[in-house]
Amino acid sequence: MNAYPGVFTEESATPVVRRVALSHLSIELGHLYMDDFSAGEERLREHFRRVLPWVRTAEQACADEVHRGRPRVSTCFLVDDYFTRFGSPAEVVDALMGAAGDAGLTIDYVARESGCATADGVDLATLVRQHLVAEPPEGDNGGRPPTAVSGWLSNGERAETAPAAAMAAPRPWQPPRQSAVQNHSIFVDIELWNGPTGEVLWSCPFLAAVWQLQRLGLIRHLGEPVAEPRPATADELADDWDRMPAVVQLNPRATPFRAYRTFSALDARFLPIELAVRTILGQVAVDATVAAQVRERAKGDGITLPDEVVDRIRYAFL
Amino acid sequence: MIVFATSDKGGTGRSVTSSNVAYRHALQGGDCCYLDFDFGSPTSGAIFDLPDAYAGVPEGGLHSYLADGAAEPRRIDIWAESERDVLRGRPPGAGRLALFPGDRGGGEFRSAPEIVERCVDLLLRADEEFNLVIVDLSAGRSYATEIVLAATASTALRGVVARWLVFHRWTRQHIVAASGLVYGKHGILETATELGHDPVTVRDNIRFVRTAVLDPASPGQAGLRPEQLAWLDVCNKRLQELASRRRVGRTSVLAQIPLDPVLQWQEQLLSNDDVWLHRTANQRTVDAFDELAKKIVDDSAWIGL
Repeated sequence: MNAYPGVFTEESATPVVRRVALSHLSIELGHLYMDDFSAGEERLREHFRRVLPWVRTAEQACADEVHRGRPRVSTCFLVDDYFTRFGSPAEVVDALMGAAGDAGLTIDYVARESGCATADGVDLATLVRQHLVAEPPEGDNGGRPPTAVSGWLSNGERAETAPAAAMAAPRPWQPPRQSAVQNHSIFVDIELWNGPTGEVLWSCPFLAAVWQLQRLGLIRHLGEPVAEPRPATADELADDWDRMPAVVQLNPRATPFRAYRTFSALDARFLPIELAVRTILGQVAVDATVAAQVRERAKGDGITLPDEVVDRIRYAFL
Repeated sequence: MIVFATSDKGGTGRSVTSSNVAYRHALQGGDCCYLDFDFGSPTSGAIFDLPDAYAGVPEGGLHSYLADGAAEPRRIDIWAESERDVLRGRPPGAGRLALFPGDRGGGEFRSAPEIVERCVDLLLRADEEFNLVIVDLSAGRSYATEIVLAATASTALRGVVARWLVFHRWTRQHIVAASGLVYGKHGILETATELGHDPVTVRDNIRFVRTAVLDPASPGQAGLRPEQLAWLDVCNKRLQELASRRRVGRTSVLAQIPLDPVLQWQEQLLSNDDVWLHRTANQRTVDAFDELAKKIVDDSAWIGL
């Protein structure tokens, strides 16, 4: 199958794209930072108590939308081991499972954030970066370096004062403008990474964008999915975060990790990060073959998926 | 007192004349400093024979101070550091003579509030320390001119006398250009008014200086043919008419600097030795510099028109 109509390619030049198992909905129960963990188990229990009603609602909404068969819903939890390292995988995962269980929730999958940067020897973040198609703002003249060089991505054009000739009246200030504007602009400029080549530090929103793409089953490397979940129990996990698989399946009876849609119950402080995530995902070109595959699978399940990736993501901000 | 030296076109002799005026003022006993605000080409060091600062100083010059906010700009004592014998050692009775050079490789920079603020500080301190502060600006409508106009409009510099010398050669194009720089669109008067100056005060403090003027009556023109002398005479009359129409006429002229062979070949300070010992420079030129140096600070030469 040629995913790019009108473009000639040898059939053997197109790598075979492997399908991934898909649930109907992937629910993210939360995102753990060192501060939350060090605040003690009560903080974790409190967190799960707060997200519980929203998780149940999301499950119900999903069940209402599924007309064929039983709804497949999996839950996941992301632990930040990229920006700060704390505890050991076994200790952290054990605490998480305990606190979730007390609230009546099951964590099917646990993932570590650095698994969004590198997983199974694949530089996942770079892979996604290479699929960025930054929209050029109207009237762009190259004065702003491209995203691939600067690591900055925006949704429009910046405010600026054009240089005036010497002794002429100063030019009026030009406000920023969002490209897809509806009456009034909300302009954002997002730092995707910083640091020198080879020692790049990816930003939290960029890794979160990779995380969403991963959960939506839209990432392939040479046609193969990356960071396939590995079954393990909390006791089996290594003591070192680097040796823990990027995604661990804790519940042997869980439905697939990836899903048609995602739902995230997050603290309201993550709102700006998710705005950045949505801006990034709006400018990521998902491989056409992969996108078509997922849409067709959904159609077979009796679900019509929106074309835009961001429209498959749902949230509850607490 | 601060004197701003500017011109609309390059090559008018603005820098060499104002350097000589600074030198003459110091010889007349006043303390004088020369600020190189020709940011696109900071080469005043060459005129003062400062080998280490021919094209600006390596660091800490006016660019660093104004644009980058570096502390205290570099200043050079001409009597101590010039390479020319005649400038080495302050002559008895002479005042101080200092140069504030630009940075080597420095270029023009846009005006900004913090730059104007630093410029105010610099001019204020220079005015307190020296009797005469000569600011050599870039040619034409420049950021340097915009910066000093904004600086002199500030309340801090309200009490300081600021005068303007607009240099032009005695040719048709230069007369039109000089007039345009002062009275034209986005010219000095318009910009000054925009920045809060009183236009009448500014206009009363602007005088023109004609440079490299060929005087048909001078003994130096003995080699010219009668036809050439006649043509020069006609041409001179026509230029005078043009100048008065353009408000660059006799009443607004402070000085006329004759064409000097030495300055045609080399921008330098003309010493008395150049006239009397080496006999290379003309006495008339040195006299013109001397007179201009006196007139700049002579209030009777600046009575409003």
